[in-house]
Amino acid sequence: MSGIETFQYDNKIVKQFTIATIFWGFVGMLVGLIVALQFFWPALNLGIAQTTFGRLRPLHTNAVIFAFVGNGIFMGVYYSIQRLLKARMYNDLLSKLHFWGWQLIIVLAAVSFIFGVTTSKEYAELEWPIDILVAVVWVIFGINMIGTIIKRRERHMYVAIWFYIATFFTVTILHVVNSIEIPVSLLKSYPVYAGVQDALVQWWYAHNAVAFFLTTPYLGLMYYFLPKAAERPIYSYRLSIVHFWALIFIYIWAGPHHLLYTALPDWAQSLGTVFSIMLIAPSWGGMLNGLLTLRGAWDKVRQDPILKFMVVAVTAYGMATFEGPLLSIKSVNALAHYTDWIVAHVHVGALGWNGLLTFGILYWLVPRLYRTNLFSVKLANVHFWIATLGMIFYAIPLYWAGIAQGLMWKEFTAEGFLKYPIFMETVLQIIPMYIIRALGGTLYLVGIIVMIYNLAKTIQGATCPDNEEAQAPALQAADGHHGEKAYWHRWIERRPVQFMLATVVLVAIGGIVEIVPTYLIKSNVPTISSVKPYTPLELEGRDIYVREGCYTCHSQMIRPFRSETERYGEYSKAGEFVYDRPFQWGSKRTGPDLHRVGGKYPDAWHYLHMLDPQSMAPGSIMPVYPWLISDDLDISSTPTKIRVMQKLGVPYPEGFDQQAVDDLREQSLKITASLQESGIEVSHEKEIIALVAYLQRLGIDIKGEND
Amino acid sequence: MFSELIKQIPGITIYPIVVTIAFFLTFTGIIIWAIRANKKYVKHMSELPLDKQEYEGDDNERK
Repeated sequence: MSGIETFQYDNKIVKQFTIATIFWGFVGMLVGLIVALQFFWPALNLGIAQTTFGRLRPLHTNAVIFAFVGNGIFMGVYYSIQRLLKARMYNDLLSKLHFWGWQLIIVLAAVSFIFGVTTSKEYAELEWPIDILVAVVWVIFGINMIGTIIKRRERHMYVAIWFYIATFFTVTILHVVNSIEIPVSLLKSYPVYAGVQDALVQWWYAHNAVAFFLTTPYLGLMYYFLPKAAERPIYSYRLSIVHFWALIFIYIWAGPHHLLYTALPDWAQSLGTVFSIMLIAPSWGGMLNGLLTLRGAWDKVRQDPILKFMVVAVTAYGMATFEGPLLSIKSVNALAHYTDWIVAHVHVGALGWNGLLTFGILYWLVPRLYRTNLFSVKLANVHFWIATLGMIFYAIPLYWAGIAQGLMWKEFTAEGFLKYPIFMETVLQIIPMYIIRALGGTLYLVGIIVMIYNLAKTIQGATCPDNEEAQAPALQAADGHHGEKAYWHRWIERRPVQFMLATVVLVAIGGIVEIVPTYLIKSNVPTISSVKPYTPLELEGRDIYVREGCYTCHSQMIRPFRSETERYGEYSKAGEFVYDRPFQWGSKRTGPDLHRVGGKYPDAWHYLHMLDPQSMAPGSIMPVYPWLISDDLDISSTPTKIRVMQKLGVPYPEGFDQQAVDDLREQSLKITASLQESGIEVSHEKEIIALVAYLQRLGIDIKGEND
Repeated sequence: MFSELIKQIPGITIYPIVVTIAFFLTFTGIIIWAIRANKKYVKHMSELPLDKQEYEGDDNERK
């Protein structure tokens, strides 16, 4: 061995990401609690747009995913990769830009969501300028990580690093493909995809965001921090290799399971189901690898809260990844989709897997960064039990609510009528479950507060040195010594660039095979001649629907079941969505489906319903929307919107952008007149008029054809 | 938009089949490799995170 080199690990950047993880974890879950309360206490929106569920829900999901888990990933990656590669991060400036850039994105995201700036694509709600910023900061992270890999002192890349690399490349592809949109203004854009294609791309993205943002990087962290905390190597390194490749191979194909029984072509749905079921194997391989690492050390688990957190986290991963494939089976999905079952499922993943693993890592890492000991092991144990109880109180009521409501939606009387034809009946039935869920969320949040106190006391009076000295021999040129046979895998893993290419190719193929055929086969989206583009007023109304996040509680996708066609009308056809940019199928029915709401009620009903939902639907948990009635509709960008739509292939007549405002005015005067007949005096310039126009248009295009 | 471009690729329908077979073969290869991997190498890899050089606390409470 020649030349031992002395160098320094960058602990400052790890410390910064650690603090950000804790801070955003608290914020994200606090917002979660606020939205949970609004389920049974809708007045909590205070009658203000900025605090209404439809706007806070994206804030909650994005804060937990990208702010809490995102910073958690970077904290773990920056700590572990330096030590696994025996090298300081490639470039301190890049580290700094990465950290502050990411925090800036989070703040911009929070502000934009509250003010209704959203693309309405779940977990990709950011508008285009922030999308670009995300791409830049993400690439900075990538360069920093790859640079570190290239200048490493350890020849072999530990399996955790493979997970990090796969995360970086896949998230890059997902983010770029799903965010292709044409700007209308600085704060508004339309996606290049429409309807079914938009839905497929979006759920390919969202599914893989769960896979490559909430799962693979955290598996990397598990493979590093679990052996660290248990002070023993991973149970089977061979299994971890199979785990990695199998997960990468299979995950990317499973996205369509989010769209079962929708207007998505059947072959794509089946593809999603098959690959989802196959996913059990690698997921459970990974879970068992984590749990078996503790074989013969369970006495340690009894005493050490860090290991307790990790064991329950890995178990939650196992439960969620068993449940996911289960939910991908069509008959199960028919019951569970659109209900609170799905919400329970994702929270087992987020609170259990991501949350508890993060807490375990924090309790391990913070005392080490600050060169001290944990203030109180007892308090960490208290946190563990509160968090676990919180999860139970969160998940079980929602499973109950989801299954109960799903069954009620489907139940027929002996005479063949819906037993619960009024949607509200099924909502009122599960309100107690929403209350218990909020209690579970409160417990979990209290646990975080206990942790913050414990960690604050831990670092009190201690300092975290910015740099930590380390020594390692310089990396020698590869020479195939030891007389070992050179296996291809060792060959590839010594060559990070080739390794990265292999991952990108694998992931890209999965995406291409899934998405391209919807373009290829025209019959996938049969055109319906009576489906016409939205009028300018309806388009503006639709943008309000998007802005207010109506899709967070209402679907626009009637599945081909008798229970749904009886309740909502004719099932949704792929060809009905060709002008929907973005698609608004939704994923949850806190309220009823709206795809055929057009013409169901008079204009006055919608007006009064938005002003005070309970006046039209007693017991309703929908919030009030008074600002739609007081605010003027902004028509300054209407012509631009029409031009962008034309560019995207919507067949408005030539020069229509110049007539759009007149057309809009004419239609709004008609609606105002109809409201006047019902005794409602309102200016035709108000936002509510556009929204009513859009709602009354929904689903009526094919009604004429059937009459 | 894309469909016109893609349709021009000759014999495109064979691609998914080729890809599926290639995926299957690659994956089988990985399993075989993992089973046959050198013991010394596997031991070295699995001990990588346990590097003792860095600061280790004694995991006891401070008070």
